[in-house]
Amino acid sequence: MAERAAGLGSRALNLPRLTLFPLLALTALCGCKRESAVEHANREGIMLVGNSAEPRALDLQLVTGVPENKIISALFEGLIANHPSDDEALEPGVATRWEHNEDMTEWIFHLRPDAKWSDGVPLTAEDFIFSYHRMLSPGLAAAYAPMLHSIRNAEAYNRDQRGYILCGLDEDFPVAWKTLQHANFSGDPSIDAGDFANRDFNQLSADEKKRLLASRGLDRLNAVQLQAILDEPALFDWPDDIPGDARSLVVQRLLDHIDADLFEFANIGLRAPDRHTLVVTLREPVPYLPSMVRHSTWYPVPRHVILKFGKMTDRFTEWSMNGNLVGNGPFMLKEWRYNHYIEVRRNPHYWDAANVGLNGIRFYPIENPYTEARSFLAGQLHSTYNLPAELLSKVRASHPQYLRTEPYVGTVFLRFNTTRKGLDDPRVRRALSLAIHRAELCQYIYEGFTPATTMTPKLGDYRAPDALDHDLAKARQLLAEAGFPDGKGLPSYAILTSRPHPAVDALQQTFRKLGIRVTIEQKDWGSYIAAQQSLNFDMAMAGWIGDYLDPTTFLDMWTRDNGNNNTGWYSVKYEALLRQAAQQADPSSRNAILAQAEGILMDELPIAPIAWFSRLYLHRPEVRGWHPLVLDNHPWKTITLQP
Amino acid sequence: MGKPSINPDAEAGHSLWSDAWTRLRRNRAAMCGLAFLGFIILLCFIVPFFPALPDPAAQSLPNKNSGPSLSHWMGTDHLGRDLFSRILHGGRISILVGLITTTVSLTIGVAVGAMAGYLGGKVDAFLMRTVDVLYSLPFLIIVILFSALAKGYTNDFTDWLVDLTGLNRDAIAPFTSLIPLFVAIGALSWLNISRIVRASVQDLAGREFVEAAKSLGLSQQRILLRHIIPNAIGPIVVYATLTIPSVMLFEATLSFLGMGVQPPYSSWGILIKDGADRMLSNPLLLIFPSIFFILTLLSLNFLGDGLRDALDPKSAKD
Repeated sequence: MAERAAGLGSRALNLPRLTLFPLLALTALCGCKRESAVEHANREGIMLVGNSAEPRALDLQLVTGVPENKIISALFEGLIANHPSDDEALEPGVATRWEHNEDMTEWIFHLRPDAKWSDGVPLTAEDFIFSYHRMLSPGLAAAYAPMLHSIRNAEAYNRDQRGYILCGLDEDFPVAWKTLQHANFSGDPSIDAGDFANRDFNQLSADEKKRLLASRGLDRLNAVQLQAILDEPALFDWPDDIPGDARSLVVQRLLDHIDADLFEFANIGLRAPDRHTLVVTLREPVPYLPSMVRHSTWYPVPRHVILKFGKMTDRFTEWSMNGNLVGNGPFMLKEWRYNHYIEVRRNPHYWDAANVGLNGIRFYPIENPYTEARSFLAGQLHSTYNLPAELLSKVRASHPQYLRTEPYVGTVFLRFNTTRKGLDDPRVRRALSLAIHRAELCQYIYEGFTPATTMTPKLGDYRAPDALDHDLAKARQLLAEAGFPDGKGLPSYAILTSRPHPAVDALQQTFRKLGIRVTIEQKDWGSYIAAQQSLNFDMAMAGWIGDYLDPTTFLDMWTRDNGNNNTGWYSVKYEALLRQAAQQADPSSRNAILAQAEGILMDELPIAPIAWFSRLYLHRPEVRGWHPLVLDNHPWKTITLQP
Repeated sequence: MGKPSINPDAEAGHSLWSDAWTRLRRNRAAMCGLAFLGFIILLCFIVPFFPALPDPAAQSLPNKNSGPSLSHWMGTDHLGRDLFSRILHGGRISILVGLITTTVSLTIGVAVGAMAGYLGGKVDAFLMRTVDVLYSLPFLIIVILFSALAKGYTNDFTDWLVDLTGLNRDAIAPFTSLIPLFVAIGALSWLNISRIVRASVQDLAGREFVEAAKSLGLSQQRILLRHIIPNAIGPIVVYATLTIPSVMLFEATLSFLGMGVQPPYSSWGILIKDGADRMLSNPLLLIFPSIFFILTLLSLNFLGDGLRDALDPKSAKD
């Protein structure tokens, strides 16, 4: 009978054993007990890297996380590459040299003629144009697409402003855009037409039709609806200064291009005068463009492979999967064993293959940072994704040679879903933010981090006024003002997190003090990201690492429709300030305008910044060519292993 | 007069139960186990009501990872919460999980097993094939699915209960959140016991005393409840003491996977999982809850062993 009882036990314990499997596999790979995984990998020239989470996919235009980015930066290379020891220095990538015109609005990148994809197909300027076309396509809905909005007309195309592209950009269009732009192109979201949209348009009453059309706006109408306006102009509410024939002209033009991809019409500032020259025209001067094109959103994607596995705008097709993925970076995908590891190997077609220092890299998706630290100390990893602050003093005493603490440009914050009841009130969000004791959290939980006073950490000369403090009494008062005294009337909220972290437990207890009930909801990395993108969460513990050294990398994403906003919040005033800053050439007045924008963000608090990162991780000394970088974008190709 | 005097005790009636109890009392390991279980149940279910015991959820970050002291007998955890208090509160959940799910699984298992064994024929075939089908289902996945599906309903149920009884939500939420777990584990872990009971009942059904009962014209229900099941009680009780620890282990597994008790409430499984993460920085967080867990499991195993010996029908003829 004891055996049967044990039978239940062993069936129950199957899964944790599975999670041990990567480690067992590692041990098995060692062959013998004496040699650790790291020593074996040293002989083979393979770097073993802890990478925190299993990537959702490796389509660089769709993923947004740091774990994905680490792998993608080994598999792909942009026009300009990162320097191994200097965050700001530019290294030639696919482009050998680049130049710009006087006002920095036109940039010419000269691509190396020997650039190839990892399957040997030549890499040309057309590939870059295809990549940016795909990235900006409204159909792809890439979260990071706004990184390309500084390209001329790219924003209009990305936002699918069809009326503007078809009429406003067409110089031969008989009616000036100035006259047309007061028409309702983008729709009025305050008009509720949710129910009508699901019904047959022709069955609706005239009044219902009118409301539906007004809520949608001309840009978002389908052929049936446009035809209805053409037949009966009174269905749509036009401003008086637009004459009747101009109205039908606009609608006819929209109807003619109903399903067309407007990339050509948009006259986007991308040109390839020859196979190895890429000309990028910007809508405004962007002095930091070379720094920005190092980000993965500006990497090329292989047209010939993507089109083999689906349409250009299909999301998450097989193209980025094991065996299919083709890149242009120093490494190519060799093996993707789900939940075990992703291994990349030297890419023989890489232009600088002779100078790639490693034979391969293996990325381990170890979600639990404590497990990761133990694996490292047991000689199974060369480098960890991070180190729990709790282990800091222990490791400092026992293994000081492995410990790395470095500055890092990033912010830990709590993201609010401002469409949820209670959280839609800025006073409630402010109360929650006031309840957070940032200094205490940084002293005891995020050891080594700095308490955040704004969203943007200290960056160059940019300084935003301190905006965040801790005041429980004021928090309670604000809650009462909002109509929720002692949290009464507020629903129970769940804090979404991708990994267990003591800070989440601390926040739970903190909000409890305000009388707000909070549960903790843990999801794996992919579902965690997806839940935020679909606004299917209440609050989420999140982190944001700067993509380049400019405050806009922390501010640009809080605009309406930005795929990385995920709060449901936007502010017209905030966006106007960002636009104003973009057109400002003088750095100090530009910073002043950005600080003003940040003031609005910190006033409305769709997010509650908690701490500014510092990079804390374990790293083996035999990894050479790895230098402290505040953006943590280590070019993999210059790294070598010298035990 | 010349007759040898007979010990009057030996003449008193000896029920099966008192015989078993006598034998159990002689088994020192089993008695130690029983005593310790009683102690731990008292500790977990009575001590938390003393106001002197710190709130298990109250955090004090400046005081984190402090060693054992007068105010914190077992020190504090990584968030400055009192470990002793957390172990006692967690113990309530772990013990309740053990007892309730075992009761559920015994009730179903004994009923199914006894019916199958006694009625035989088509009923037996149907019930046992059902058991076969359930055996083939992946236990863990079913429990996880069920817990996930029932999560929303549990919250509603908790709200309803709070409205109805006016109880403090914090006091009942850790238990109501476990109801899906109780139901799911209970509903799937009765398979073994039903097989055991069926075999026992098949054996007993042919015995003389059952024949006698039948010839007296007793109803099937009465025969089953009064004559057969009490005679099969030995294996059932033993199996129960062995199921409790395995269910407690299972709760630990589920909590390890994030499906069991939700923070800030804890169970021994959660405490051990958190402690295992932090064994490099504060090994006490692993050691103390593990001691409680291991001693409880050991006690249950000793008691189960002792009960098996004590209730063994063969030893009744000693």
